[in-house]
Amino acid sequence: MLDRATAPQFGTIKDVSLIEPTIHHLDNGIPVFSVNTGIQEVTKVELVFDAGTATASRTLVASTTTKLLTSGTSNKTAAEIAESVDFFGAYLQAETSHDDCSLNLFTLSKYLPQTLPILAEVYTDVVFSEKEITTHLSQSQQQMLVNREKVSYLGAKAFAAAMFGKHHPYGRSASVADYDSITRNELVGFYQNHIKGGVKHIIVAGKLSKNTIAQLNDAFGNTEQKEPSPSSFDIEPNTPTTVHAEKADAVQNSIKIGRVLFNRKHPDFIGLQVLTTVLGGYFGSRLMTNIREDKGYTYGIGSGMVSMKNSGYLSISTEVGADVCQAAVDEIFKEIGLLRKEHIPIGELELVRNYMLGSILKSVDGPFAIADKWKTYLRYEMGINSHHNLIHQIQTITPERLRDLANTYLQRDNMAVVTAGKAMQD
Amino acid sequence: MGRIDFERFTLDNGLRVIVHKDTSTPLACLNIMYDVGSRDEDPDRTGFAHLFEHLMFGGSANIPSYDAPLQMASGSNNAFTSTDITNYYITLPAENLETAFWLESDRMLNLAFTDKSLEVQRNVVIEEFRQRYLNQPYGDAWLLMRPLAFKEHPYNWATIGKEEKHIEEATMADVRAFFNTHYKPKNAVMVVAGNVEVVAIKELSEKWFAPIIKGEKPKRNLKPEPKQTEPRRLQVTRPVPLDAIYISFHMCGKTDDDYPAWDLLSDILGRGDSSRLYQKLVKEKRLFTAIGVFTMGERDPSLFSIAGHISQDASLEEAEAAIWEEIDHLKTELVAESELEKVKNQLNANNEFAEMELLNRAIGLAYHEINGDAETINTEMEEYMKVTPEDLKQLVNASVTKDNSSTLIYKRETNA
Repeated sequence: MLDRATAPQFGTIKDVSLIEPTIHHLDNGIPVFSVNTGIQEVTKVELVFDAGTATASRTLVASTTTKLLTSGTSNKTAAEIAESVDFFGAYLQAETSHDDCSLNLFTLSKYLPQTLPILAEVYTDVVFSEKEITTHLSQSQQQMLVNREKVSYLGAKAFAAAMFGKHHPYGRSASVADYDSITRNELVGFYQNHIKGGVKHIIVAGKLSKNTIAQLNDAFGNTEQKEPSPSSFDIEPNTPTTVHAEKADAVQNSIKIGRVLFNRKHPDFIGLQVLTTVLGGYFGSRLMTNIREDKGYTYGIGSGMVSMKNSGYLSISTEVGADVCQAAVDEIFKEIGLLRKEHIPIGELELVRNYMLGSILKSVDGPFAIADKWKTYLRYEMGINSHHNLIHQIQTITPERLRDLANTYLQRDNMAVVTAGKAMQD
Repeated sequence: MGRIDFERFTLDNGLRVIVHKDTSTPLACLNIMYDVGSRDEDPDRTGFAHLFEHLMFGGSANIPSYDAPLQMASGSNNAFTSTDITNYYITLPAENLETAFWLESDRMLNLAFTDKSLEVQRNVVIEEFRQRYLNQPYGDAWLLMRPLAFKEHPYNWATIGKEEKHIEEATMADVRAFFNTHYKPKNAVMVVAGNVEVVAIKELSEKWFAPIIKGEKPKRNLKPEPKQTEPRRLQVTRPVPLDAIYISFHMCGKTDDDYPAWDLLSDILGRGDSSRLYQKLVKEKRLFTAIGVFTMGERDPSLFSIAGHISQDASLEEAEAAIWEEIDHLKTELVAESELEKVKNQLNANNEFAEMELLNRAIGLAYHEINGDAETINTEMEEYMKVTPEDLKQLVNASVTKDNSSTLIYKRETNA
């Protein structure tokens, strides 16, 4: 008779292998990190620039500049660029984060010779026509009006400001009026200073041919490169605050709780990743079990660590029925209190270790996933040892250490508590 | 495009099993698709298939917790429900695959959730209803469009349900009856994909799934949607910053011969920055801030839809007229061969990108098998390649018409 009550034997993950990129240098010195693997005939080329939203003098400059990289060159209109990329089923996308931005080409490997020159042209020769700028700003501004109707969006803005300060490069966010004051000169300036000639490195991934590096050299190897001017700034200690962003007609409120800490280079970062996974990092986490599966207050709740180049923070985030908002906040702090008071039971910690290792295994499956992993490590000038260290720490961290971390970093008095939606009744 | 190889077998109890081997990954996926969706619900008790999906995680005959043993085996899982199907999937290291067989077979065998889990999941689903449909600008668009476009067929309601009340009223007896009717081996397709051997999957399937009682495949007897003969229109006023327009047209079902032409038509109008509506209406005329075109891809005859946010500088009338102007072009002028080639290329490339994910291949195989034959995942592109400019022109003239249209307008509150 089949025993259905006992779980079958299973193995634990001993190691997660992460393919290391091959490093090449183009004629002008641009480093190329190449991840040649996978079974689909696809290629991704990512140009990474050492400039993000925090680099620009004010909000919207970086994101608008990168968004307009595909808005036309001296040879091609925006429509012609779109047409030539779409014809090959490729994608040309700009991304902006706090610390860097990038221009990505996704293409079938066989069409790389046709699509790579478009990427090169876009990178070196954006004209920033007034018409394209005005159209884009007007549409983004109206999109912001739509976003402002979402409590999650209101909460995210207020949370960044509450943690870092509303004028800080990591805490500021655009207002509707900011769109009216952006000038072409600012965009051209950001492009000239940080993007054109500012390729930090290129990451190429997929099923590559033996010509791929030569093709990259033809496209980018003779472009003029500037000396990098890395940015850094002090993070002021945050004053914990409680903030409510009002949206009277909300049926659910957004809750965001967290504090400024540090980035992934800090020795306690991985430990806090484990701790926030226990708290709210997976379906069976304490917050999900309590607030969703026991109380039914929410569709989902999560917690985790966020790393930036010059800082990092802990974040807990959910949307709950407006009437149970205060009760949910209280339960979140109750769960935090338990982490400070009691050791995490061995069985639960074992489960979290296994779950995290499984997630990491999934996160490095396939060439584009591996490339993304390396993009992150390269941002912090971290190498393969960081990956080994991550695996090792997850496997060996103790309940004692996790309780210590909770007591060091998870004090209620140091947390920003942000709600957005209907005002809470006391 | 790469072929997706697979082997198929059927257990004595009717469960269809598909194995797709890929040794380039250390992972395996186990995907079970049940042939039941919101179209199979009672019109007075909607949202049930989806509520039931939540309850499937509430413990089964011999296993009190579904998630914990899976997480312990380094796995993760999720599920989704549509109008047509309910799909459950697990990803985990290939060596731990038996854990997935154990968990999925036990909840096909029998559920064992409590009154408390029913009560909690009713609340969770109501919060999901609020988070995704009520507390978002334009979030109720499909709750409004479906009943406008469908008068008889159960696509008349969205998968989340018609209203919160239906979910609140679900009883334990309802839930049991639903399980007994639909969660049978004969009503499911299982796909195992990844670093696996066919022989081992056969053994595991026999061991864990063969003992489950066969049951009957439920008969489906859905009311067909009568042909629409005149334009329909609904205007609502909401606290939204931009007016919006949604126009839907009745089209064929996913397995119909005409489906590829509809799909390519939606791409010509709306896929990517070079598409017609984006270039003309967003960039050139600046009437919309965003516009999209899509087919629902449902099994029964369904909807082809255009949806856009209207710029504050434009009027609803001129925006709506401009959409129809683009449609009229397609009625009189043939699409250029190169434009059609472009959207075919886009589709090909998109498939290749999507297939990088093992899970996408597994779900794709299950969909195709439920819809008739898994092999069509490898042959459907041939049907797309046959579509001609004449086919598109004919389709637009026959079906993208005022009489076949349902138009939903969001007007912003002027004193908001």
